[in-house]
Amino acid sequence: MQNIPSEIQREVDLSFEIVDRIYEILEEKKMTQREFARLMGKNETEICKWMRGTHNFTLQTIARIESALNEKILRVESNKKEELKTICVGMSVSNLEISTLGCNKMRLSPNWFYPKEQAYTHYGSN
Amino acid sequence: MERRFTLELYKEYDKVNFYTIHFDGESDTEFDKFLSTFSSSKYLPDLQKILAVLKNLTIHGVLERYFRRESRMNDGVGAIPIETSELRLYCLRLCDSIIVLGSGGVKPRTQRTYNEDPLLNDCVKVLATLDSLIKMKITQGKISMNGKSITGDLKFYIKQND
Repeated sequence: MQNIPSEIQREVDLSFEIVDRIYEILEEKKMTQREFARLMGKNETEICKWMRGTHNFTLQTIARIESALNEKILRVESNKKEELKTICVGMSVSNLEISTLGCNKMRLSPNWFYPKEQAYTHYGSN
Repeated sequence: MERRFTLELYKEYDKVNFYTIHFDGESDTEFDKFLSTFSSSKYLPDLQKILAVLKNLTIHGVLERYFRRESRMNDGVGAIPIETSELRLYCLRLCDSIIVLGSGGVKPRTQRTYNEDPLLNDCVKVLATLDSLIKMKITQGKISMNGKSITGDLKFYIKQND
């Protein structure tokens, strides 16, 4: 298939990661999309649109979702060493890119999957 | 008059297989025609976004919640919608591991439904018919789906006026 500009791929990747994280939270809380819609004061159609993976979420919407669900969806990377213990989006360690799957696993480039604890051991992080 | 086609494996990934439709007598598959039509148009960025979505499907699986349902509620025909765009790719989701990439086109925002446009209507109709035919052939034992593969008699036809 054709080459996709990195910024377009990244935009879609982020959207998928966000909706997968929201879906994970809803599953953990045993909340339906209908209940989530009611919680957000939206109709279900709009929530379905959000959850397709191509919605362009604003920071405001993400903040509202995080508040409503009382769960984090996004974290911002930091260069501080202690932040290595936190799941981050797009954090680089020794030229390897770590991306969150929004769960307890971390995906390490190219295609390795490690439980969070093992990843820290493998890369010697504190 | 009949339109004969083959369900063809387009690309294989670890978790997912992409199939597409190849009409008899045509050199390109339906998905390749879609790519050719829009890759050198003003819709190229939208096409690239659709391709980025497809790439994510290969990672996350062809989950039902990633699609917007088109056609009737009991078939797997869906669109990959890009909210900021009028470009649509219509697909048939068979399971979390198998998707048939159809064709698509531009659905203007002033147009409420796909069936107001003959081209889009045909895209959806072909996939909806394929869905019925696949289900029928599975029942007849002529086709089987295992994991991400669909095997057996993958030749179909639809009547021009269906």
